[in-house]
Amino acid sequence: MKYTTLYGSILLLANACTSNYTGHIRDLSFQNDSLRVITMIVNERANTIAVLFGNKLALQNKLAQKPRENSELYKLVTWRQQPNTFWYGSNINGTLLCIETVEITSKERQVVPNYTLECFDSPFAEALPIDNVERTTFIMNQQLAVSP
Amino acid sequence: MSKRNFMFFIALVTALAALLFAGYGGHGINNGSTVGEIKAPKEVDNILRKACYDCHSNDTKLAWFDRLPIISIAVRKDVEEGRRHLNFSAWESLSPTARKAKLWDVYNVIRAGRMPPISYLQTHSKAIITTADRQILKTYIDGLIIKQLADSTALETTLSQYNSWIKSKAVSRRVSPNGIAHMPAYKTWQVMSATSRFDNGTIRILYANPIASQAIQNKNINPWPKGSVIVKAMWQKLEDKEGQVRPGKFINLQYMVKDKRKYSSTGGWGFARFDGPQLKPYGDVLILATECIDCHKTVEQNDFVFNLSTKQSSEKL
Ligand code: HEC
Ligand code: HEC
Repeated sequence: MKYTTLYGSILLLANACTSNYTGHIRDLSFQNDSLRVITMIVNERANTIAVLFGNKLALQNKLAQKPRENSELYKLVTWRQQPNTFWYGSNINGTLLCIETVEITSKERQVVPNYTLECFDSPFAEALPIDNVERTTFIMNQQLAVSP
Repeated sequence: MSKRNFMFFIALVTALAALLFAGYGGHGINNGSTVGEIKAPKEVDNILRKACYDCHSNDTKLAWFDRLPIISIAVRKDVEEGRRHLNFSAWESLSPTARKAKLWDVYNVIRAGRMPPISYLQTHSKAIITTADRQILKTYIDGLIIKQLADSTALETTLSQYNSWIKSKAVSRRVSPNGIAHMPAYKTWQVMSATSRFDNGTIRILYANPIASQAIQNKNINPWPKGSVIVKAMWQKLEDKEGQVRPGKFINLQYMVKDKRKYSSTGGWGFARFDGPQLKPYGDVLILATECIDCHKTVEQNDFVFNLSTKQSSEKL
């Protein structure tokens, strides 16, 4: 066998083996680090999947059904929903669209939620302009998903 | 060829032919009775009959070459195993929910090119599934989707489960019959993906332990490194009038734990499941060694993992 042919077949084989699966996989677009899951929200109309994270304090207070307090942190991470390539019947989070953050601070013994929005795409195109107060309430009012 | 060699040759050929046809039909396959066959529209039924029935029904119609000895042994093994996994002739013995789930399974193994087996297609071209066939199957299963807004019963079930969960203490040690222990730390892990199933009305969050999450970032996932753990938390869907879906009743946690040696018979993954808020260990050693991997084999080329998001959302039929 000629070396070129041999080399060619090895390349071909190597290609077939890796099947380029890993090349198609997305990086993890949001590192939740010390934040934990509060709940998830799929919006069938906007075609998005979102996960609401909170810091330890936020989760503790939710679990104990205590009122919000200084230093609670919430992050609602929204992705576009897309079909799962490997199972017809399942949708999965795709492109990262935006991250909404609510941070609770205290001013003169009053808790003040601070809302920020960071967008990488335009999921709220239909609903613009965004009402900060409404979004803050929406984020704060989500119930903890049962997670034993 | 010398005369002696020629005689030997003839003897050999005769012996082989005798061997070949001696058992002709002998390893016949017992076509059991048909009790409660699948009732599907004619066009769906035709596809299943031409492509699947030889191995997944009691109505196996073998070609003459399937009956040749040696070959027939392999064929028989396939048929027996195939029937054990899925039998369209004993369809009614499955619960309505199981039937529906099987149909999605059927569509997905075809879509992934896992079924009919390539070796079978090479000799039985009638079983080739065309794009038109796939469209027919897809339309059929799409018609089985029941989209339901959360009713008062679903809301009450969720609320009462929630109320007793927040009052209860964290679940103590839980161990699956195959030795895999529940890892309460999963809640501190990286979220790998979030999924929404329209085939069975559930939503899921997937967690990757630090080894697994590092492996995803490094694209070192074919195969996944030893010590990778993936946990899936699953809830029933609660959909409101605005089309927002939230977790309803918590269903279970499912585990995949990578150890190539320890779990060599199940693709290098150990499988475990813990049901309900009390995380009751599911199944037994045999079930956990067969049921889960049987289906996860559909994504063998992904090291048996379904739930990683791909860059292009393929609109593959
Ligand atoms: C040549 C025999 C043969 C034919 C034809 C065949 N199968 Fe199979 N099938 C098998 C065997 C053997 C298994 C079990 C081993 C395995 O999973 O690979 C199986 C497994 C399956 C499973 C997995 C069930 C589980 O336990 O999760 C499904 C689903 C399936 N087949 C569907 C089909 C469909 C749909 C067709 C027709 C389009 C088909 N098969 C055609 C032999 C066959
Ligand atoms: C009928 C097919 C089927 C069976 C049986 C099955 N799974 Fe899966 N599993 C899937 C599909 C499809 C997904 C991805 C879709 C989703 O979760 O939204 C999945 C995902 C998973 C995941 C997340 C990792 C991944 O592959 O994406 C785990 C963990 C898992 N299954 C564990 C189990 C365990 C444990 C069992 C057995 C008790 C089991 N599975 C049985 C089809 C199956």
